[in-house]
Amino acid sequence: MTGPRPSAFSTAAVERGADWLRGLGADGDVVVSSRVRLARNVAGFPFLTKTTPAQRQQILELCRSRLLTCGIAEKMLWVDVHQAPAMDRTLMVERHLISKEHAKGVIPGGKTAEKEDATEEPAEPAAPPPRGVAVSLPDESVSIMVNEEDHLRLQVLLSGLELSKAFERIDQVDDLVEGPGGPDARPVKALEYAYSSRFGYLTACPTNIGTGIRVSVMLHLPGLKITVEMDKVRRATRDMSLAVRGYYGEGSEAAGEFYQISNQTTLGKPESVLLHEFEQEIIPQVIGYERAARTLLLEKRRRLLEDKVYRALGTLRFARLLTPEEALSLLSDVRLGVVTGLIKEVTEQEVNQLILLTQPAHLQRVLGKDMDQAQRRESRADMVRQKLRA
Amino acid sequence: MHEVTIKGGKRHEKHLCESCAAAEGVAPQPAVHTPITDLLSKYITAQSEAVAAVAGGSPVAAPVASGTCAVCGLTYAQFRQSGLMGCPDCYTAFEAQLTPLLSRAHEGGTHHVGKSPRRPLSRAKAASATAPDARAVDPAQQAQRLAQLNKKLAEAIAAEQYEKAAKIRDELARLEGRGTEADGPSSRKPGGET
Repeated sequence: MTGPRPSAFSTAAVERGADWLRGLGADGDVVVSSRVRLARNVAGFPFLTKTTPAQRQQILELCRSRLLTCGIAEKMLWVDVHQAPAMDRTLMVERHLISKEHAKGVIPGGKTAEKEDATEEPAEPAAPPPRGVAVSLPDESVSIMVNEEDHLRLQVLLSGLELSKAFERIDQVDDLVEGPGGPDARPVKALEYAYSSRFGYLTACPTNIGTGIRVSVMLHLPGLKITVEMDKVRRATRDMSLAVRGYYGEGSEAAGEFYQISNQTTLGKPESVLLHEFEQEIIPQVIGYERAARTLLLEKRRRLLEDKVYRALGTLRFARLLTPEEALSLLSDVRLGVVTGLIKEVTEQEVNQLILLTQPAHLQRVLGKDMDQAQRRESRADMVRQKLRA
Repeated sequence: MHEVTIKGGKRHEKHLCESCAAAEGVAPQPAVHTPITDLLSKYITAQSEAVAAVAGGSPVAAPVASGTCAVCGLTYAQFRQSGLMGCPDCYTAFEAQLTPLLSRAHEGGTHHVGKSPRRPLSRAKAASATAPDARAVDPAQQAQRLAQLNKKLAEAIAAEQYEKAAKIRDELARLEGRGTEADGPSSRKPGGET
């Protein structure tokens, strides 16, 4: 354990962007990505609030060896998050491979272990909690956090509306991680999940018990925002016990009209019913609303729409300073212009790629240098100008 | 109580107090209406207090008077503060207090329906997942039966056969040595937590 390690991500992989943000999946004009995650814990250990450092290390090692050998994908990347360079941790958050909490090393119910700010001196120099992530390569569609709020957080993230596909994959991964089944199987090295017949899969937070599943769909809803219909979606989803969050997930405001809709109920509702509700009812309805709003704008308020999207493109093409928030907001407007057919000189893929590359860690990796905030604003504007040059 | 009837174009108004209205048979509903959720949570709280009072010195993982998990030492007060359990056995230790919370957070859900581990529950797990007063049964057999029932329950819910689902759920509760603690999985209640 001698200081931070070199980056686990090649520059080429960083520049390539992320598969889930390709915009190639079903209903890609509205649905950015589909994500299914499962919360699991290893039987025989307390949850992370009550583990000793030695137990955490033991869980990490147990899970790592299991995740890397059970055949999830031909190639798996393992990152010891607690030893990874800060840039890699941010990079993984931006690629939606790990949560912000996992990057920071928050011990559930405790305080942040990693220093966020170099000027902040921790009261006691606590060792960063051992934690990791396993990622399928090269597509990064499967990622599994170890020692987050639960011992295991398994996720599958796909481009477009692909919930059934995502669920099938995560179900398969879940079975592989758990190990061989059946009454005659004598698994030696398989993991046993904490489970009770009444409460289902047992998780640190009771809001996840039962199936331990969270289904979440990221939608681009600028039409509903402009026509002031977004509140209707919020109300309807609240009535159905769904959560609506922003681009960056839990606790984030909507940035650039990207919204994530996810379930909150995990006890008493089987996975199949939840998936059916999402794929056949809730999401198609929201897609329908958004498309209707876009059609309305094109037919009745075309000039307003044109002004909005071209003004955004103009700003991106000429700005000399850009914050990540402003870049995301303008790219969102340009994306609306592209998917409604108004803007023809930029592709959806280019816009999607820029959404990722304008974020702090991606920007620094692509340009190959560490920069402070002010320098990043300049470089971000330069990069966007170059990529969207008329 | 106000009653307005229109007969042959003529308007008849009656103003009665509640007891007179009841006597005349025009009161449409019982005067006091308590939401079913309140009734349930009151009932459950009372029941769990009674259980806790009786179960004073019962075996491992039963709630002790102060509400502490015997396995990891987490107190119920600590759980309320952090929102996080200390270990899998906390769910057994705090089962009575948790039931109404879970029901609120999960649209009325109180029992798991859905995927279960592929391997039969090991002896220790099956034992800790059952109530302390459950009769001695072969845990493997019981686990298998429970898994079957859970599967049937999932199918019934998927097919929106809620009466059938309710029966299966009751059967599940009986097998686990519990009474039915809440209303059916079909009921939707507003206000999930977090």
